[in-house]
Amino acid sequence: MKFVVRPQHIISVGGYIVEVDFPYRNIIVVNPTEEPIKIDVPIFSTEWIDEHRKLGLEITPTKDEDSFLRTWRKTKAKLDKIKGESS
Amino acid sequence: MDNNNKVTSKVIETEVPLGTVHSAAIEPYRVRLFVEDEIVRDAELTVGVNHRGIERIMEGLPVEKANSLTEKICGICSNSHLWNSCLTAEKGLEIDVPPRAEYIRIIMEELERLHSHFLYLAHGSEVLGHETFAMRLFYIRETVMELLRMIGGNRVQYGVSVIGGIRPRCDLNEMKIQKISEGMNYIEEKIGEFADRFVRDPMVMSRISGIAAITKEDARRLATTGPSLRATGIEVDLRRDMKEYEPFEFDVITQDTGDVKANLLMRVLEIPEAVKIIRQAIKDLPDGKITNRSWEMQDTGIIRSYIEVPRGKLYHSYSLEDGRVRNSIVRTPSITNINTMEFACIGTHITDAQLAIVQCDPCFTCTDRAVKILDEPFRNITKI
Repeated sequence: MKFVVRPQHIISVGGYIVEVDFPYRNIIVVNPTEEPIKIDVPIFSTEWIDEHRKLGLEITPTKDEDSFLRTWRKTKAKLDKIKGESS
Repeated sequence: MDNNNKVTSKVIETEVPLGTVHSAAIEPYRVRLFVEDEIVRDAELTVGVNHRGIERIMEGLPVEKANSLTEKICGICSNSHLWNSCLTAEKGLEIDVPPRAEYIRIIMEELERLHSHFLYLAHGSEVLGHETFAMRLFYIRETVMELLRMIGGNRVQYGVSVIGGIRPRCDLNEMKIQKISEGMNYIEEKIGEFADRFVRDPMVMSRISGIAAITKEDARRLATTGPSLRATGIEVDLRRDMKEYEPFEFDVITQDTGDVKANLLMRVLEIPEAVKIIRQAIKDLPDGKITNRSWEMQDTGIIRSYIEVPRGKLYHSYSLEDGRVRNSIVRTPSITNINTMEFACIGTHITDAQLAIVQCDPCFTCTDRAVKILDEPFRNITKI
Protein backbone atom coordinates (compact mmCIF):
# COMPACT_ATOMS: atom_id res chain seq x y z
CA MET A 1 0.00 0.00 0.00
CA LYS A 2 1.17 3.50 -0.68
CA PHE A 3 0.71 6.65 1.29
CA VAL A 4 1.35 10.11 -0.14
CA VAL A 5 3.37 12.55 1.94
CA ARG A 6 2.50 16.05 0.80
CA PRO A 7 5.23 18.58 -0.06
CA GLN A 8 6.87 20.16 3.00
CA HIS A 9 4.73 18.10 5.31
CA ILE A 10 5.48 16.09 8.44
CA ILE A 11 3.79 12.88 9.56
CA SER A 12 4.47 10.09 12.03
CA VAL A 13 3.91 6.53 10.89
CA GLY A 14 4.03 4.62 14.18
CA GLY A 15 0.62 3.11 13.55
CA TYR A 16 1.88 1.58 10.30
CA ILE A 17 4.69 -0.44 11.84
CA VAL A 18 4.04 -4.17 11.98
CA GLU A 19 6.23 -4.94 14.98
CA VAL A 20 7.98 -8.14 14.00
CA ASP A 21 11.63 -7.62 14.94
CA PHE A 22 11.39 -3.87 14.47
CA PRO A 23 13.64 -1.88 16.84
CA TYR A 24 11.87 1.47 16.61
CA ARG A 25 8.60 2.53 18.21
CA ASN A 26 7.74 5.35 15.86
CA ILE A 27 9.09 7.00 12.72
CA ILE A 28 8.75 10.69 11.90
CA VAL A 29 8.75 11.32 8.16
CA VAL A 30 9.39 14.77 6.70
CA ASN A 31 9.01 15.61 3.04
CA PRO A 32 11.26 18.68 2.65
CA THR A 33 10.87 18.77 -1.14
CA GLU A 34 8.25 20.59 -3.17
CA GLU A 35 6.92 17.36 -4.71
CA PRO A 36 4.57 14.81 -3.14
CA ILE A 37 6.40 11.55 -2.33
CA LYS A 38 4.79 8.14 -1.97
CA ILE A 39 5.84 5.88 0.87
CA ASP A 40 5.24 2.17 1.30
CA VAL A 41 3.20 1.03 4.29
CA PRO A 42 2.94 -1.10 6.41
CA ILE A 43 6.56 -1.08 7.59
CA PHE A 44 8.03 -4.52 8.14
CA SER A 45 11.81 -3.98 8.38
CA THR A 46 14.53 -1.37 9.02
CA GLU A 47 15.49 -1.47 5.32
CA TRP A 48 12.41 0.69 4.80
CA ILE A 49 14.27 3.62 6.40
CA ASP A 50 17.21 3.55 3.99
CA GLU A 51 15.00 2.98 0.96
CA HIS A 52 12.85 5.98 1.79
CA ARG A 53 15.79 8.23 2.66
CA LYS A 54 16.94 7.63 -0.92
CA LEU A 55 13.64 9.13 -2.13
CA GLY A 56 14.54 12.44 -0.48
CA LEU A 57 12.58 12.03 2.73
CA GLU A 58 14.03 12.94 6.11
CA ILE A 59 13.37 10.09 8.48
CA THR A 60 13.73 10.20 12.26
CA PRO A 61 13.09 6.92 14.09
CA THR A 62 12.27 7.05 17.79
CA LYS A 63 12.77 4.29 20.34
CA ASP A 64 10.69 3.31 23.38
CA GLU A 65 12.78 5.47 25.71
CA ASP A 66 12.85 8.59 23.47
CA SER A 67 10.42 11.45 23.93
CA PHE A 68 8.29 11.45 20.82
CA LEU A 69 6.93 14.93 21.44
CA ARG A 70 10.40 16.49 21.84
CA THR A 71 11.67 14.80 18.67
CA TRP A 72 8.53 15.84 16.79
CA ARG A 73 8.92 19.48 17.84
CA LYS A 74 12.59 19.53 16.84
CA THR A 75 11.84 17.99 13.45
CA LYS A 76 8.88 20.34 12.93
CA ALA A 77 11.05 23.36 13.73
CA LYS A 78 13.56 22.23 11.09
CA LEU A 79 10.76 21.84 8.55
CA ASP A 80 9.35 25.28 9.39
CA LYS A 81 12.81 26.72 8.75
CA ILE A 82 12.94 25.05 5.33
CA LYS A 83 9.43 26.34 4.56
CA GLY A 84 10.45 29.85 5.56
CA GLU A 85 13.51 29.75 3.32
CA SER A 86 11.61 28.46 0.29
CA SER A 87 8.69 30.92 0.53
CA MET B 1 4.18 -7.59 -5.68
CA ASP B 2 7.26 -9.65 -4.84
CA ASN B 3 8.06 -11.87 -1.87
CA ASN B 4 9.32 -8.89 0.13
CA ASN B 5 5.89 -7.24 0.00
CA LYS B 6 7.08 -4.62 -2.48
CA VAL B 7 5.18 -3.52 -5.56
CA THR B 8 7.25 -4.61 -8.53
CA SER B 9 8.47 -1.99 -10.98
CA LYS B 10 7.46 -3.96 -14.08
CA VAL B 11 6.03 -1.63 -16.75
CA ILE B 12 2.50 -2.57 -17.74
CA GLU B 13 0.87 -0.17 -20.11
CA THR B 14 -2.80 -0.55 -19.28
CA GLU B 15 -3.73 1.00 -16.01
CA VAL B 16 -7.27 1.07 -14.64
CA PRO B 17 -7.67 3.58 -11.84
CA LEU B 18 -10.48 3.26 -9.32
CA GLY B 19 -11.33 6.08 -7.00
CA THR B 20 -10.52 7.99 -4.97
CA VAL B 21 -14.29 8.28 -4.96
CA HIS B 22 -15.98 5.33 -6.61
CA SER B 23 -19.49 3.90 -6.39
CA ALA B 24 -18.19 0.42 -5.44
CA ALA B 25 -16.05 1.76 -2.62
CA ILE B 26 -17.71 3.07 0.51
CA GLU B 27 -14.67 5.09 1.57
CA PRO B 28 -12.18 7.21 -0.36
CA TYR B 29 -9.08 5.34 -1.51
CA ARG B 30 -7.29 4.99 -4.81
CA VAL B 31 -6.58 1.69 -6.53
CA ARG B 32 -4.38 1.41 -9.58
CA LEU B 33 -4.88 -1.88 -11.38
CA PHE B 34 -2.19 -2.75 -13.92
CA VAL B 35 -3.95 -4.94 -16.45
CA GLU B 36 -2.93 -7.28 -19.26
CA ASP B 37 -5.74 -8.96 -21.23
CA GLU B 38 -8.25 -7.98 -18.52
CA ILE B 39 -6.22 -9.87 -15.90
CA VAL B 40 -4.77 -7.80 -13.04
CA ARG B 41 -0.98 -8.23 -13.04
CA ASP B 42 -0.16 -5.72 -10.33
CA ALA B 43 -2.06 -3.44 -8.01
CA GLU B 44 -1.31 -0.36 -5.97
CA LEU B 45 -3.58 0.92 -3.26
CA THR B 46 -3.15 4.45 -1.97
CA VAL B 47 -4.72 5.82 1.16
CA GLY B 48 -4.18 9.11 2.93
CA VAL B 49 -7.04 10.94 1.26
CA ASN B 50 -8.26 11.91 4.71
CA HIS B 51 -5.73 13.54 6.96
CA ARG B 52 -4.80 11.33 9.89
CA GLY B 53 -4.02 13.00 13.16
CA ILE B 54 -5.68 11.31 16.12
CA GLU B 55 -2.46 9.98 17.67
CA ARG B 56 -0.92 13.42 17.35
CA ILE B 57 -3.93 15.05 19.04
CA MET B 58 -3.90 12.39 21.79
CA GLU B 59 -0.33 13.36 22.64
CA GLY B 60 -0.39 15.19 25.98
CA LEU B 61 -4.14 14.90 26.60
CA PRO B 62 -5.43 13.66 29.97
CA VAL B 63 -5.86 9.91 29.63
CA GLU B 64 -9.67 9.89 29.99
CA LYS B 65 -9.97 12.51 27.26
CA ALA B 66 -7.54 10.64 25.00
CA ASN B 67 -9.51 7.42 25.54
CA SER B 68 -12.76 9.03 24.44
CA LEU B 69 -10.98 10.45 21.40
CA THR B 70 -9.98 6.94 20.24
CA GLU B 71 -13.69 6.21 19.84
CA LYS B 72 -13.69 8.67 16.94
CA ILE B 73 -11.14 6.59 15.01
CA CYS B 74 -13.84 4.36 13.56
CA GLY B 75 -17.59 4.49 13.26
CA ILE B 76 -17.90 0.73 12.96
CA CYS B 77 -15.64 -0.48 15.77
CA SER B 78 -15.74 2.55 18.06
CA ASN B 79 -16.40 0.38 21.12
CA SER B 80 -13.31 -1.75 20.37
CA HIS B 81 -11.07 1.32 20.28
CA LEU B 82 -12.43 2.75 23.50
CA TRP B 83 -12.29 -0.62 25.24
CA ASN B 84 -8.71 -1.28 24.18
CA SER B 85 -7.62 2.22 25.09
CA CYS B 86 -9.11 1.78 28.58
CA LEU B 87 -7.53 -1.68 28.82
CA THR B 88 -4.14 -0.11 28.09
CA ALA B 89 -4.49 2.28 31.03
CA GLU B 90 -5.87 -0.48 33.27
CA LYS B 91 -2.91 -2.69 32.38
CA GLY B 92 -0.37 0.04 33.14
CA LEU B 93 -2.02 1.17 36.37
CA GLU B 94 -2.89 -2.41 37.46
CA ILE B 95 -6.61 -1.71 37.88
CA ASP B 96 -9.00 -4.60 38.51
CA VAL B 97 -12.24 -4.28 36.60
CA PRO B 98 -15.40 -5.58 38.36
CA PRO B 99 -16.69 -8.81 36.73
CA ARG B 100 -20.09 -7.25 35.90
CA ALA B 101 -18.38 -4.49 33.94
CA GLU B 102 -16.22 -7.03 32.09
CA TYR B 103 -19.30 -9.01 31.08
CA ILE B 104 -21.09 -5.88 29.81
CA ARG B 105 -17.97 -4.91 27.87
CA ILE B 106 -17.97 -8.36 26.27
CA ILE B 107 -21.67 -8.02 25.37
CA MET B 108 -20.92 -4.68 23.69
CA GLU B 109 -17.91 -6.05 21.86
CA GLU B 110 -19.81 -9.05 20.52
CA LEU B 111 -22.76 -6.87 19.49
CA GLU B 112 -20.27 -4.72 17.63
CA ARG B 113 -18.82 -7.83 15.98
CA LEU B 114 -22.35 -8.78 14.88
CA HIS B 115 -23.08 -5.40 13.34
CA SER B 116 -19.66 -5.25 11.68
CA HIS B 117 -20.08 -8.73 10.18
CA PHE B 118 -23.58 -7.89 8.93
CA LEU B 119 -22.23 -4.70 7.37
CA TYR B 120 -19.44 -6.71 5.72
CA LEU B 121 -21.86 -9.30 4.35
CA ALA B 122 -24.20 -6.59 3.07
CA HIS B 123 -21.34 -4.69 1.42
CA GLY B 124 -19.97 -7.93 -0.06
CA SER B 125 -23.41 -8.86 -1.43
CA GLU B 126 -23.75 -5.40 -2.96
CA VAL B 127 -20.35 -5.61 -4.67
CA LEU B 128 -21.08 -9.05 -6.07
CA GLY B 129 -24.31 -7.67 -7.49
CA HIS B 130 -26.93 -9.11 -5.15
CA GLU B 131 -28.64 -6.03 -3.78
CA THR B 132 -31.60 -7.95 -2.35
CA PHE B 133 -29.26 -9.85 -0.03
CA ALA B 134 -27.57 -6.58 0.90
CA MET B 135 -30.84 -4.88 1.84
CA ARG B 136 -32.07 -7.90 3.82
CA LEU B 137 -28.80 -8.04 5.75
CA PHE B 138 -29.02 -4.34 6.56
CA TYR B 139 -32.56 -5.01 7.79
CA ILE B 140 -31.36 -7.78 10.14
CA ARG B 141 -28.48 -5.54 11.28
CA GLU B 142 -30.99 -2.96 12.48
CA THR B 143 -31.85 -5.22 15.43
CA VAL B 144 -28.21 -5.12 16.57
CA MET B 145 -27.98 -1.37 16.03
CA GLU B 146 -31.07 -0.83 18.21
CA LEU B 147 -29.61 -3.04 20.95
CA LEU B 148 -26.40 -1.01 20.83
CA ARG B 149 -28.44 2.17 21.08
CA MET B 150 -30.40 0.76 24.01
CA ILE B 151 -27.22 -0.02 25.98
CA GLY B 152 -24.94 2.82 24.94
CA GLY B 153 -27.45 5.54 24.04
CA ASN B 154 -26.10 5.94 20.48
CA ARG B 155 -26.01 3.90 17.30
CA VAL B 156 -22.32 4.72 16.94
CA GLN B 157 -19.78 5.85 19.54
CA TYR B 158 -21.54 4.39 22.56
CA GLY B 159 -19.06 5.57 25.20
CA VAL B 160 -19.51 2.47 27.36
CA SER B 161 -16.04 1.84 28.84
CA VAL B 162 -14.23 4.09 31.28
CA ILE B 163 -11.00 3.35 33.12
CA GLY B 164 -11.92 0.78 35.80
CA GLY B 165 -15.29 -0.28 34.39
CA ILE B 166 -18.26 1.08 32.49
CA ARG B 167 -20.47 4.14 32.68
CA PRO B 168 -23.51 3.83 35.02
CA ARG B 169 -25.99 4.57 32.21
CA CYS B 170 -24.80 1.42 30.40
CA ASP B 171 -25.61 -1.00 33.21
CA LEU B 172 -28.10 -3.70 32.25
CA ASN B 173 -31.46 -4.21 33.95
CA GLU B 174 -33.98 -7.05 33.50
CA MET B 175 -35.80 -5.26 30.70
CA LYS B 176 -32.59 -4.70 28.71
CA ILE B 177 -31.46 -8.29 29.24
CA GLN B 178 -34.86 -9.49 27.97
CA LYS B 179 -34.53 -7.29 24.87
CA ILE B 180 -31.00 -8.59 24.17
CA SER B 181 -32.23 -12.18 24.53
CA GLU B 182 -35.11 -11.55 22.09
CA GLY B 183 -32.71 -9.84 19.68
CA MET B 184 -30.36 -12.83 19.76
CA ASN B 185 -33.25 -15.21 18.98
CA TYR B 186 -34.14 -13.08 15.97
CA ILE B 187 -30.52 -12.82 14.74
CA GLU B 188 -29.97 -16.56 15.07
CA GLU B 189 -33.13 -17.37 13.15
CA LYS B 190 -32.43 -14.85 10.39
CA ILE B 191 -28.74 -15.68 9.91
CA GLY B 192 -29.72 -19.35 9.60
CA GLU B 193 -32.21 -18.47 6.85
CA PHE B 194 -29.68 -16.23 5.13
CA ALA B 195 -26.89 -18.84 5.27
CA ASP B 196 -29.26 -21.42 3.81
CA ARG B 197 -30.21 -19.17 0.88
CA PHE B 198 -26.65 -17.98 0.41
CA VAL B 199 -25.01 -21.39 0.02
CA ARG B 200 -27.88 -22.77 -2.05
CA ASP B 201 -27.74 -19.93 -4.57
CA PRO B 202 -25.70 -21.29 -7.50
CA MET B 203 -25.27 -17.82 -9.04
CA VAL B 204 -23.73 -16.42 -5.85
CA MET B 205 -21.55 -19.46 -5.26
CA SER B 206 -20.16 -19.47 -8.80
CA ARG B 207 -19.42 -15.73 -8.49
CA ILE B 208 -17.36 -16.12 -5.30
CA SER B 209 -15.78 -19.60 -5.40
CA GLY B 210 -12.07 -19.65 -6.12
CA ILE B 211 -11.85 -15.87 -6.58
CA ALA B 212 -8.87 -13.99 -5.13
CA ALA B 213 -7.59 -16.91 -3.07
CA ILE B 214 -4.84 -16.32 -0.51
CA THR B 215 -2.68 -19.21 0.68
CA LYS B 216 -1.59 -19.78 4.28
CA GLU B 217 2.01 -18.86 3.40
CA ASP B 218 0.98 -15.59 1.75
CA ALA B 219 -1.30 -14.74 4.66
CA ARG B 220 1.59 -15.20 7.11
CA ARG B 221 4.03 -13.21 4.93
CA LEU B 222 1.59 -10.32 4.51
CA ALA B 223 0.78 -10.24 8.25
CA THR B 224 -2.91 -10.85 7.53
CA THR B 225 -5.08 -10.74 10.60
CA GLY B 226 -8.58 -11.57 11.82
CA PRO B 227 -11.22 -13.44 9.84
CA SER B 228 -9.20 -12.94 6.63
CA LEU B 229 -6.36 -14.93 8.22
CA ARG B 230 -8.69 -17.58 9.58
CA ALA B 231 -10.26 -17.92 6.11
CA THR B 232 -6.93 -19.37 4.93
CA GLY B 233 -7.08 -22.11 7.57
CA ILE B 234 -4.88 -20.57 10.27
CA GLU B 235 -6.60 -20.87 13.65
CA VAL B 236 -5.58 -17.62 15.34
CA ASP B 237 -8.05 -15.71 17.46
CA LEU B 238 -6.78 -13.37 20.18
CA ARG B 239 -10.00 -13.90 22.14
CA ARG B 240 -8.57 -17.29 23.10
CA ASP B 241 -5.70 -15.50 24.93
CA MET B 242 -7.72 -12.70 26.53
CA LYS B 243 -8.58 -13.18 30.20
CA GLU B 244 -11.86 -11.31 29.63
CA TYR B 245 -13.06 -14.15 27.38
CA GLU B 246 -12.02 -16.98 29.72
CA PRO B 247 -15.53 -17.59 31.16
CA PHE B 248 -17.06 -18.07 27.71
CA GLU B 249 -17.17 -21.07 25.45
CA PHE B 250 -17.03 -20.51 21.71
CA ASP B 251 -15.47 -22.05 18.63
CA VAL B 252 -12.80 -20.42 16.49
CA ILE B 253 -14.14 -20.65 12.95
CA THR B 254 -11.76 -21.40 10.10
CA GLN B 255 -12.08 -22.01 6.37
CA ASP B 256 -9.52 -23.56 4.04
CA THR B 257 -9.64 -21.90 0.66
CA GLY B 258 -8.83 -18.25 1.50
CA ASP B 259 -11.00 -17.02 -1.38
CA VAL B 260 -14.00 -14.67 -1.40
CA LYS B 261 -16.34 -17.55 -0.55
CA ALA B 262 -14.24 -18.52 2.48
CA ASN B 263 -14.13 -14.92 3.67
CA LEU B 264 -17.89 -14.46 3.37
CA LEU B 265 -18.63 -17.81 5.04
CA MET B 266 -16.18 -16.95 7.85
CA ARG B 267 -18.36 -14.00 8.85
CA VAL B 268 -21.61 -15.95 8.40
CA LEU B 269 -20.32 -18.70 10.70
CA GLU B 270 -18.83 -16.28 13.26
CA ILE B 271 -22.23 -14.66 13.84
CA PRO B 272 -23.74 -17.65 15.75
CA GLU B 273 -20.53 -17.82 17.85
CA ALA B 274 -20.93 -14.16 18.85
CA VAL B 275 -24.59 -14.86 19.68
CA LYS B 276 -23.43 -17.82 21.80
CA ILE B 277 -21.06 -15.56 23.79
CA ILE B 278 -23.75 -12.89 24.32
CA ARG B 279 -26.22 -15.54 25.53
CA GLN B 280 -23.67 -16.86 28.05
CA ALA B 281 -22.87 -13.31 29.21
CA ILE B 282 -26.50 -12.33 29.87
CA LYS B 283 -27.25 -15.67 31.53
CA ASP B 284 -24.30 -15.52 33.95
CA LEU B 285 -24.14 -11.71 34.38
CA PRO B 286 -22.59 -11.20 37.84
CA ASP B 287 -24.08 -8.80 40.38
CA GLY B 288 -22.10 -6.04 42.02
CA LYS B 289 -20.21 -2.89 41.15
CA ILE B 290 -19.70 -1.73 37.60
CA THR B 291 -16.76 0.61 38.21
CA ASN B 292 -13.63 0.35 40.31
CA ARG B 293 -12.75 3.85 41.49
CA SER B 294 -10.07 2.91 44.00
CA TRP B 295 -6.98 3.47 41.87
CA GLU B 296 -4.34 6.13 41.69
CA MET B 297 -2.76 7.74 38.71
CA GLN B 298 0.97 7.20 38.34
CA ASP B 299 3.62 7.47 35.64
CA THR B 300 4.18 4.34 33.57
CA GLY B 301 6.49 3.10 30.87
CA ILE B 302 5.19 2.11 27.45
CA ILE B 303 2.04 -0.01 27.83
CA ARG B 304 0.84 -2.25 25.00
CA SER B 305 -2.56 -3.86 24.61
CA TYR B 306 -3.91 -6.15 21.90
CA ILE B 307 -7.50 -7.28 21.44
CA GLU B 308 -9.41 -9.20 18.79
CA VAL B 309 -11.89 -6.91 17.06
CA PRO B 310 -14.24 -7.75 14.17
CA ARG B 311 -11.50 -7.22 11.57
CA GLY B 312 -8.56 -8.70 13.46
CA LYS B 313 -5.85 -7.60 15.86
CA LEU B 314 -6.15 -4.08 17.29
CA TYR B 315 -3.10 -2.57 18.99
CA HIS B 316 -3.13 0.41 21.33
CA SER B 317 -0.05 1.65 23.12
CA TYR B 318 0.97 4.69 25.13
CA SER B 319 2.77 5.69 28.30
CA LEU B 320 1.41 7.90 31.09
CA GLU B 321 3.11 10.98 32.46
CA ASP B 322 1.29 13.17 35.04
CA GLY B 323 -1.97 11.54 33.96
CA ARG B 324 -1.37 12.50 30.36
CA VAL B 325 -0.89 10.28 27.32
CA ARG B 326 2.56 10.16 25.75
CA ASN B 327 3.96 8.34 22.72
CA SER B 328 0.56 7.16 21.58
CA ILE B 329 0.29 4.56 18.82
CA VAL B 330 -2.77 2.85 17.39
CA ARG B 331 -2.60 0.10 14.79
CA THR B 332 -5.88 -1.07 13.30
CA PRO B 333 -6.30 -4.47 11.62
CA SER B 334 -7.00 -2.92 8.21
CA ILE B 335 -3.46 -1.52 8.06
CA THR B 336 -1.91 -4.97 7.85
CA ASN B 337 -4.79 -6.36 5.80
CA ILE B 338 -4.39 -3.75 3.08
CA ASN B 339 -1.30 -5.55 1.73
CA THR B 340 -3.42 -8.69 1.51
CA MET B 341 -6.06 -6.76 -0.44
CA GLU B 342 -3.45 -5.60 -2.97
CA PHE B 343 -2.05 -9.11 -3.26
CA ALA B 344 -5.51 -10.68 -3.63
CA CYS B 345 -6.19 -8.50 -6.69
CA ILE B 346 -3.23 -9.93 -8.58
CA GLY B 347 -4.24 -12.67 -11.01
CA THR B 348 -7.96 -11.92 -10.81
CA HIS B 349 -10.13 -10.76 -13.66
CA ILE B 350 -10.61 -7.01 -13.56
CA THR B 351 -14.29 -7.33 -12.65
CA ASP B 352 -13.32 -9.34 -9.56
CA ALA B 353 -10.71 -6.88 -8.32
CA GLN B 354 -13.13 -4.84 -6.21
CA LEU B 355 -14.45 -8.09 -4.73
CA ALA B 356 -10.87 -9.10 -3.91
CA ILE B 357 -10.42 -5.85 -1.98
CA VAL B 358 -13.79 -6.07 -0.24
CA GLN B 359 -13.19 -9.69 0.87
CA CYS B 360 -10.67 -8.44 3.47
CA ASP B 361 -13.25 -6.11 5.04
CA PRO B 362 -11.38 -2.85 4.46
CA CYS B 363 -11.91 0.08 6.77
CA PHE B 364 -10.00 3.04 5.45
CA THR B 365 -11.43 5.41 8.02
CA CYS B 366 -9.63 3.38 10.69
CA THR B 367 -6.54 3.35 8.55
CA ASP B 368 -6.37 7.05 7.88
CA ARG B 369 -7.69 7.99 11.30
CA ALA B 370 -9.38 11.02 9.85
CA VAL B 371 -10.36 13.99 11.87
CA LYS B 372 -11.28 17.45 10.75
CA ILE B 373 -12.25 19.82 13.49
CA LEU B 374 -13.06 23.33 12.42
CA ASP B 375 -13.09 26.41 14.58
CA GLU B 376 -16.59 27.59 15.30
CA PRO B 377 -17.23 31.08 16.71
CA PHE B 378 -18.79 29.98 20.01
CA ARG B 379 -16.81 26.84 20.68
CA ASN B 380 -13.24 26.53 21.70
CA ILE B 381 -12.11 23.60 19.57
CA THR B 382 -8.61 22.64 18.52
CA LYS B 383 -7.89 23.38 14.91
CA ILE B 384 -5.63 20.99 13.03
